[in-house]
Amino acid sequence: MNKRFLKGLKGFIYFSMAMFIAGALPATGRAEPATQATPADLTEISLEDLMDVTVYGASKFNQKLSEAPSSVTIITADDIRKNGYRTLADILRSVRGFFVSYARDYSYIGARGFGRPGDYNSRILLVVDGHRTNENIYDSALIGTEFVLDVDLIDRVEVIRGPGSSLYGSNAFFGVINIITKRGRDLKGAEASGEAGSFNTYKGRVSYGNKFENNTEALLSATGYDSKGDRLYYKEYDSHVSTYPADSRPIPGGITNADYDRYQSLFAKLTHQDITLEAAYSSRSKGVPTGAWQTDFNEPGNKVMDIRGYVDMKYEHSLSARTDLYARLFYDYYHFTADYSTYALWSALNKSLTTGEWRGGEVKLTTRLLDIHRVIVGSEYTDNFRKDHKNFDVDPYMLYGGDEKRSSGAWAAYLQDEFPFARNLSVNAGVRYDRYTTFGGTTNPRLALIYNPIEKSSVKLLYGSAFRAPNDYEMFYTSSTQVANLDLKPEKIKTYELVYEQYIGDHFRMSASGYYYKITDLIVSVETTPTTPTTPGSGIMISKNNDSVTARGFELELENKWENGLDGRISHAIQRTEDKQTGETLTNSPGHMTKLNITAPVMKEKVFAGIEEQYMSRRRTLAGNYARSFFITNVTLFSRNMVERLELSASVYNLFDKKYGDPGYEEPSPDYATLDTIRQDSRNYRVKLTYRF
Amino acid sequence: MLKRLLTYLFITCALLSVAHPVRADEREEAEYRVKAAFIYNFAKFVEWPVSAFAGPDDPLIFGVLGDDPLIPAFDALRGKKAQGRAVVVRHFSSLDEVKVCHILLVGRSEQDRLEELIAAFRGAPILLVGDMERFARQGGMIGFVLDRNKVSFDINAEACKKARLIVNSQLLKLANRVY
Repeated sequence: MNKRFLKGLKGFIYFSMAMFIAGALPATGRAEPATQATPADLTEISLEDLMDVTVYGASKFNQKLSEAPSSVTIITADDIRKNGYRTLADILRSVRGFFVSYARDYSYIGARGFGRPGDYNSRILLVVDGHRTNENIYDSALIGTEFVLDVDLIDRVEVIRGPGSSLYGSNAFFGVINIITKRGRDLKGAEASGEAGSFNTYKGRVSYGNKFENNTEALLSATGYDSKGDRLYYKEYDSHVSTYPADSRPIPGGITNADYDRYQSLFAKLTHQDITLEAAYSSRSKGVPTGAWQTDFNEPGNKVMDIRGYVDMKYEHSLSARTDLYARLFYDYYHFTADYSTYALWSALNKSLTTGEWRGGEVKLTTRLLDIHRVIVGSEYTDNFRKDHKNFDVDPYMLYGGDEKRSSGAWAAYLQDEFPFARNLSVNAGVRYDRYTTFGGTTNPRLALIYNPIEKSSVKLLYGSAFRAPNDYEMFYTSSTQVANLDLKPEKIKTYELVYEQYIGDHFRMSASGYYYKITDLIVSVETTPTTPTTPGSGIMISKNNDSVTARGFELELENKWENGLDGRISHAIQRTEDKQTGETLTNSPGHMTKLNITAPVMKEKVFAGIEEQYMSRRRTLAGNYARSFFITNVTLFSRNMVERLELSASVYNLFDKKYGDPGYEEPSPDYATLDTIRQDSRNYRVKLTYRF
Repeated sequence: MLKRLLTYLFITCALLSVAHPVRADEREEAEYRVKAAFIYNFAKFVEWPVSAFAGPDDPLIFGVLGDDPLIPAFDALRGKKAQGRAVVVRHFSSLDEVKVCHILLVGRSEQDRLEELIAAFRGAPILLVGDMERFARQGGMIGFVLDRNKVSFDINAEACKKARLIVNSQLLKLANRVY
């Protein structure tokens, strides 16, 4: 059965490759003029039909990108469909210079060679429709199945590289991921989508969206997801014999069935005139199959649960022909529960409960001064009115992490000016001051010089400073193994970057970028000095501004969009990070990454093949070993309107069944088994159907 | 590693070499033709005050002020019929020249003095159309916007009303944004 299945699969691959070649090659040979699709006399057709005619501006690329004071990548809803991306993590894996490590609980973002195992996603700011989504306890951006939004609702993702604190404040350390959701008019009615995949994975979504009279627009959507998860084998647990006297864990043979993943999410957006009200909610339960944190291996009771929600009200109004007002009010909720089943080692169920609530507002004015200055001035306030944390054993009850309830606040003011300095040269300068009740103030400037020597060429020289505020966990958390450090300062990064972007014709884009950054006051968890000189270590951890890191990198990207719908993008990123204390390369820091994405029309406007190749060089693990380099291939066949109103896609992820792993986040221990690398998914499939009513 | 990279580059270059891109102006032309067809359609959705015409056989005058890449496509509307009237296209090079006209395409060349221009037309029953950013928001009547590679438009209903132009609700419904 298995053999036959593989044979069938091979056939499928050959077939799709043949389709791809047959479809793509002749098509590239004779590009069709865009005018062909439109009738000779356009005045004969109605306004409604005219609005459906696809035209291209002067360029197929968004020209604004070359004016942006950073290097930006945009992933559209179309890219998401044609490449079969299932999560935001999948999307980010395709982005030049970005990588994602999946520890089978959460997905962790790495950027510019920096992705230290054990750190939260707090050095990237994740924004949805202008709303900051990093939560207020760990400051983490949730990007896997725990992301607050179903990726089907994304209109586009803008990945803005480099320091963004001069505009966005904390967390905009290596970059800002700006997500713009679809509008009601993009759906024009109801939509139902169902998908099924390997490891007993099912997802369903129903959405409704429309635009009504009076500038009113609405979108509503609900999603349910359930995955049983892969049957995983970890050799570490197979052969592990505990030296810890109390460890009576049976050796389970290294196989675990606890990789399940479930979520429900809701999203609503309502726009009337200048006001947009948006609400999002998601709740996810993820089994922790890795036996992390000395928990029982292969125990389905081991799980992490995240609930994330927000309500955001925006007001956008033109005060005059030159001035726009943007104001926002928001409320956010985050709840995290972890059930750590530690019966084998400690005969107890340990629980972590964390709840964060915050609210705030923002006011921003964009105006044009003296004709040439485009000025943005704004202010922001956040009231973290709830930050509760608790860690305890359920029975017998035993409190480890103090039953703490805290609050904090922060306000900020920022200013940005963009103006032409000389012919072909424009300047973008910004500065932001943030004041936190916890550590005080920080000022972060940014300066960009954008030079256009000739049309379609741009050279950008960028300097920026950014910060990451110490999170609640690092600053205040106290337990039997950790103490608070109220003297923590924010981490700081200074980045210098040179970007060269070149457009050739209307189809080809090249982007090259070299950067250098230096991080100071990097927060690390260190052992406190032992109280008695005889003890080798206190075993008590404290967060300190101890490390500094420097890095250099170079990235090159080529992109071509053909007239017939064939798109190709290839990138290579080289990065060298250095821990200034040890002189070594950081852990989980790949030296090289290569990415290739091709979307090819197989049948004009109806069937597309998406091919994705990703290469990552080896990464050092916490134990000083290496997670091997890997090369994976994902393929998606996508069709729309073969049957009217129906979209269909079939994807194979990790087509060649490459066995690879991401570095784990647990320090090796002589006493417990830990996973130095965490195996990633083997070859798996997904089919998806979306129907518009 | 390097070998792999070179292979990629080779494939990319090979793919690039077989591309025969359509000339840019050819495609832009398509965009302008679509926009001109929009303008022609607007005429069907707008009612001018009776005083705007001398008689029932009077032509509908489409004017252009200044320079705009839309002009060749706009000129092609000449001789068509709208609202039972013949369409006449006229070119104006300055504000003073604009006398009788029903739909005026404000050229991109006028972008820098838009405020002054709009003020000069205040109250006149002329439908001001512009293919530039924020045109409708700044007091123009209909401004083109490109929305995901499709042509759409913003309407300043307030400005139309002041000019005594009656805009069909259907047009307001189709608009990307109504001010």
